[in-house]
Amino acid sequence: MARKSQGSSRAKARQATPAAPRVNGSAKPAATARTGTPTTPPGKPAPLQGVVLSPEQLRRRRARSIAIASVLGFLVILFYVVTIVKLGPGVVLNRPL
Amino acid sequence: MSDVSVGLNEPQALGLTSEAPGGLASPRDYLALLKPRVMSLVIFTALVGLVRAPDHVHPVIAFTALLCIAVGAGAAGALNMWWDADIDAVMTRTRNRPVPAGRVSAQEAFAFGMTLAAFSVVVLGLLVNVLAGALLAFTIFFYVVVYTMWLKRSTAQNIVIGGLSGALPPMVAWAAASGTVSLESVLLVAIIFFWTPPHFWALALYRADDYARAGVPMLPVTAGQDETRRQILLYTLVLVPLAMSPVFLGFAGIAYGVISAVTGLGMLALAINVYRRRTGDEAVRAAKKLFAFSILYLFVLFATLLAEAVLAQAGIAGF
Repeated sequence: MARKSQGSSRAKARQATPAAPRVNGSAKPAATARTGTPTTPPGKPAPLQGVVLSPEQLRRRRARSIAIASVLGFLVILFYVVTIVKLGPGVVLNRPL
Repeated sequence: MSDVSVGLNEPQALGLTSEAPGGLASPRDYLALLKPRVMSLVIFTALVGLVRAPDHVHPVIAFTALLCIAVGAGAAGALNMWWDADIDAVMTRTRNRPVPAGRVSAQEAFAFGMTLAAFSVVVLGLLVNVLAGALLAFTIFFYVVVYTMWLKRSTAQNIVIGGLSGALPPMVAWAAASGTVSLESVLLVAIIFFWTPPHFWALALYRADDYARAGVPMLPVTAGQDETRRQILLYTLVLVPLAMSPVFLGFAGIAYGVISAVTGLGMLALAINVYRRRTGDEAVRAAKKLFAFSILYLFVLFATLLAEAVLAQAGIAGF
């Protein structure tokens, strides 16, 4: 519970002193990183951008996603084929037309 | 535990970090967690168990069984890397593994291993048979809990007892094919079980410093090199006749008898060589030769058993 109260005090601290998020380690604040012009009205805190992945991280995440999708696709085919094998030839050959 | 900041470092908890830590693991890193080289040996020995089992099994079911055994072995490897990351980081041979190298976090390795372990056991139990699934679950449990968590750091007999988990795959495959466990499958397990100590202790002889630095009580570290050489020879003296026993029990043909005798003599000669050469480069060379030949020895034994079974099923006389 101590951690929870610590967390809420951190949240207050974040509201009080907002930090400008950075993109890929760039010194430029996130709000101006793409356009070069500030988009946040003066006097208002810049919106937090959350986690920003580097191009390498994005590339590897994509590779992982493709690998997971391939495995899932393979499992679908495997379970289908095993089901047919377990049911036996009757499911294919003796089906009424 | 409702606090979302649990598990995050301070900048992350404050939402101040814009760059994600980690996230650099590629599919290849996850494949490395499965210990593919160990997995290939598991697949091969399991294939022998599958083919030599007396009952016919549909090729798709056989493939599913092999896949589950392979994935189960890989899961055990991933859980081993999760638990042993501290040891792996210290040892030269293992410091580039995904967890100590920082490409995969320990939690990710744990989740990956547990998911694959559960999945492989359940699929093998449901699609093939319950006995095979139970044996696979026992194999994974024995490797992860008994060997990795308990024996590896506490006794010099770690690889002797823990070797059972590496020896069980042919029995799991046999059970997958026939639904039972027979004397022949026990014999296959016994061959791998008695092969493990000479194989790993030969490696440990020239990697003793690595094991000592990591605090792993391998036999050369705790009992000394001379005692290890003696134990290697003793286990080899048990292994060679045991590897020939399928012929005498009527499980294997004359080809296996001849090949197991010849390669067994080679194994014995190299073990004697290790026992006699105790100092300098000659000693290291002798241990390396035994380590390399032991892999070939086991491969040749199981390949011959496989070939005999395939030829017998093809109806070729004499097998």
